[in-house]
Amino acid sequence: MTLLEQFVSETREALHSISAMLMALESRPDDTDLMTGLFRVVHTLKGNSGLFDYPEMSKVLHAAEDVMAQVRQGELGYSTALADGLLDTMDFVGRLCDAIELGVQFDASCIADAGMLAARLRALIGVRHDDADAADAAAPAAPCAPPAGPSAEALYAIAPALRMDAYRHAVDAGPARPLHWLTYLPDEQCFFQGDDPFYQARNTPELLWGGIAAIAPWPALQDLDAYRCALQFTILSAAPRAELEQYYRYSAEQVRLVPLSPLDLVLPQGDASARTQARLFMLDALDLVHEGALDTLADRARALREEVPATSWLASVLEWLLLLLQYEPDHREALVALIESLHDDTAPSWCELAEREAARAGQAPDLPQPEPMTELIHAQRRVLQQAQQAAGQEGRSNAVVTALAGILRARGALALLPGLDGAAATARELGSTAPLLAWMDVHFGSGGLVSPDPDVPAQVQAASVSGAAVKTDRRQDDTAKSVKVDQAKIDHLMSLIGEMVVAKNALPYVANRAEAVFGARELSREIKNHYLVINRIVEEMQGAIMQVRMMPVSFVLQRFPRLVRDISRTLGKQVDLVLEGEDTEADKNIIEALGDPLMHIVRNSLDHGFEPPGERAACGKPAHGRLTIRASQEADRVVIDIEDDGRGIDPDVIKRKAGEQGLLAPAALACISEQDAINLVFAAGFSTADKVSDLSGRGVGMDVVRSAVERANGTISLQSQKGVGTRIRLSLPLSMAVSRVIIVESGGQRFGVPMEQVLETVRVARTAVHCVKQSSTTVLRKRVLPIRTMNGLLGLSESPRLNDQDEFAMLVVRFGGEPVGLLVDSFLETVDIILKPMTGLLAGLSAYAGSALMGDGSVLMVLDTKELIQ
Amino acid sequence: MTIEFDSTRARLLQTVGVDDAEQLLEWLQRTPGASVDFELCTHLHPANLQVLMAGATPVCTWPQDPLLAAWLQSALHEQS
Repeated sequence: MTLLEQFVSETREALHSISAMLMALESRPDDTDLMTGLFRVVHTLKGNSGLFDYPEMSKVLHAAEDVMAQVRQGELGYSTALADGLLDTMDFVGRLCDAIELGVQFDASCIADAGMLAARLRALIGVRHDDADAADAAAPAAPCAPPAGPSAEALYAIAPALRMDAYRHAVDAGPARPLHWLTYLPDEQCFFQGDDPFYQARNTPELLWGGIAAIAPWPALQDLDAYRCALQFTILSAAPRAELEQYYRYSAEQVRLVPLSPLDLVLPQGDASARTQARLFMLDALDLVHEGALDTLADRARALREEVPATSWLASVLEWLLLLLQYEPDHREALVALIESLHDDTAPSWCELAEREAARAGQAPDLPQPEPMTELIHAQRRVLQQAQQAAGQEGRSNAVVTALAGILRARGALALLPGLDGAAATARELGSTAPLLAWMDVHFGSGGLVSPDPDVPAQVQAASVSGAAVKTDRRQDDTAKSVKVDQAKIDHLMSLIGEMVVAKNALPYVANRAEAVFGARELSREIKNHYLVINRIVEEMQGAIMQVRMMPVSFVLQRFPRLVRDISRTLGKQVDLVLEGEDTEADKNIIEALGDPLMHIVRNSLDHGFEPPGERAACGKPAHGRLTIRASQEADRVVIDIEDDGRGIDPDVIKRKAGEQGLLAPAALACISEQDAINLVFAAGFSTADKVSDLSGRGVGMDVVRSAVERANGTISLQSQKGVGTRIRLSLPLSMAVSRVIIVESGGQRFGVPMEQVLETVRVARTAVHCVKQSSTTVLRKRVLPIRTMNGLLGLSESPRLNDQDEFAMLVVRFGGEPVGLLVDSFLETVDIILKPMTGLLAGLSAYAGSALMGDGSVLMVLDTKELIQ
Repeated sequence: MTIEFDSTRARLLQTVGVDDAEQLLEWLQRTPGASVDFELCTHLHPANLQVLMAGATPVCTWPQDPLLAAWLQSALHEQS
């Protein structure tokens, strides 16, 4: 896996755990462990995202992290608004992951969304402008974080003279009123809303400089949509943050504000002429700064400035130096950094300077040693160590260099980048990873700039000495866990095994023929022995492929916490969802078939089952309703119970309703039991759509739910007690692939009947069958059982055959919840078959569930007794 | 009418509104070697600006207002 793939899959896992933790926090908002855990995950995610060039992702995660930090420190209470904000943010990150996986560029709307989400999260932190301003001023390191601050290139767009004016302005105003760098990305559709973003940008309060750029390369003119805004405005303003926010209040989500320290503007530029003078001046100047002879330095600089070409780097440095000497003569560090920039003509890294100062002031820079970084550094080291001997060393080294550069950038340690490049070049020349490892030891191992945490080097060394083997193992585990296979391949394997089963089943016939036709009894026995071996292997293969297709029920259940939360909030109800047995497994098709019915049932329950809090209180129930979804395995079936403690179903209302809709005759309605009445909600066409009062309304679309469950060979049952609650039980086979059927003979033909439809097989004496008018009945265990004949149902004229003892063979099947006897000629064996549904013209024959190929090459028609008896 | 079109030159006058962008776009497409004159321009709707940016249209005269000129130069200077 590439680092990026790993990042995406880890991000997805993190998103899952974040949303699970948010749900948990909902019920236990005071749980500090949970809060800390949540913060850590968000923090890790943000740290990881910084390694790649996804500013949108880093931006929202950064905002989320800030919010979580405040919550963790108790400065901000947990609230549903906060959870909403975070959940939306995680959804957004999930969408970005999708885009990354597909390799698509984020479009402009993503950027706008990111801004909006981040603004929304930050709004939660509190909009006390004065405080925010003070905090910004006190933490000049803030622009260091890559997604937040303007890049040096962006600032270079401002002409030097203007930048110098801005610098003077900023220093005069003092640290309490920093300049602001404002990025304004208007909505794509804003022209249609009558906006003129350019006009708005031009009138920004205390505008010092403004620039316009395209957010993407322009298309050819004939493809250009002039009315889709694709511009970005960047503005340097001296106005206080509050004023800017007030001015852009209608487009707050499209605007990003970053305070600038005056030094950020100090960016020399120019060509490499006058190098010698530059070197000489640098040495002199550094001495003068150390001696404190700043006046002399200013004189020298002024004199030299007259001599050198105005376009040179030196001239630019001199001009800035003079300005600094005039405005911030006491800031020695800054002077030194500026002078040292003469060394290699790269602009001083003011971020680093600010960080160093902050560190010296005893307050560590706002960059906690993030565990993911350490983890990543370990990973890079591991890769290098493995690559030392392995082929393809160069490719891996390159990947590591990219990752390390990302780490450095994320930590703001840009000055180390050239060193890294140097080490990489040496490594390439030597064809070995040793120079890179050495470089890592120096910069990540010795408590240097990058890892101020004293624990880290120890860990790193441990990892490099003893941990390497362990880590390798873990890596292998990870890969094993995450094999992804296209479902089509599994299905193909499945159908091959199905054919294998059929082919294997042919062997007993061959054995019989060998004996009966060719008289080779020995051979027949050998074939049978061999058949047993193959049979065992095929059964194991079948079991194994079933295992591959098994998925935990949590796959469908995981969306319910969010769904229940959102729906119950919309409805103004309070419902706690309890999930149990989420690790119960079943075939992928079954799990997928569960999704829609479950969703329907849960929605119904929330909508109609639970009473509003007031009504619950009146009945003496707790205000919070309780919805339990419990999954469990019973023999070869997976059972899902959905239980609520809502108002239940009133059977009388159902009866009345069914009567009105003409589903049952009034006489029949009068004598059915309460349970039967409740079951009427499953009847096709039954509906409570017109909202009969005090009816739970559970019937909405329940027949749809039932048929969806039955399509997956499942059953559904419903129990309800008025005022107490409702329980719905779904029972589905663990797997749909192989069905067990009993083979029966009727009218000289063989038919299969699915075992799940058969209650029992019995023999009844001819004398025990009574004819009442047109229909036959018998008494089985003191219950009257209606009897039909298979031949009659299939339209065959023959009557069922009797055996030697003058008995009928009778299958007892379930029909509409009641047992019905079905007379056949005789029972044969039960077999496992791969059921193929009827296709083409035959698909209209609903009496057949499908067909299967038998071992001897014959086709077995499998009956659907429910359809048949109807 | 706030844009005057010569054979190869568009003169933007005072405030150029959003509705002119379409015409400007059409004109640019059928006029090879077109250039633009901002001398009397005081403001233009960004839809027009986009069209000029996308067309990499050379500027023959910048606006009199130095602030507006600075904005426009940031967007168009590379092409002028």
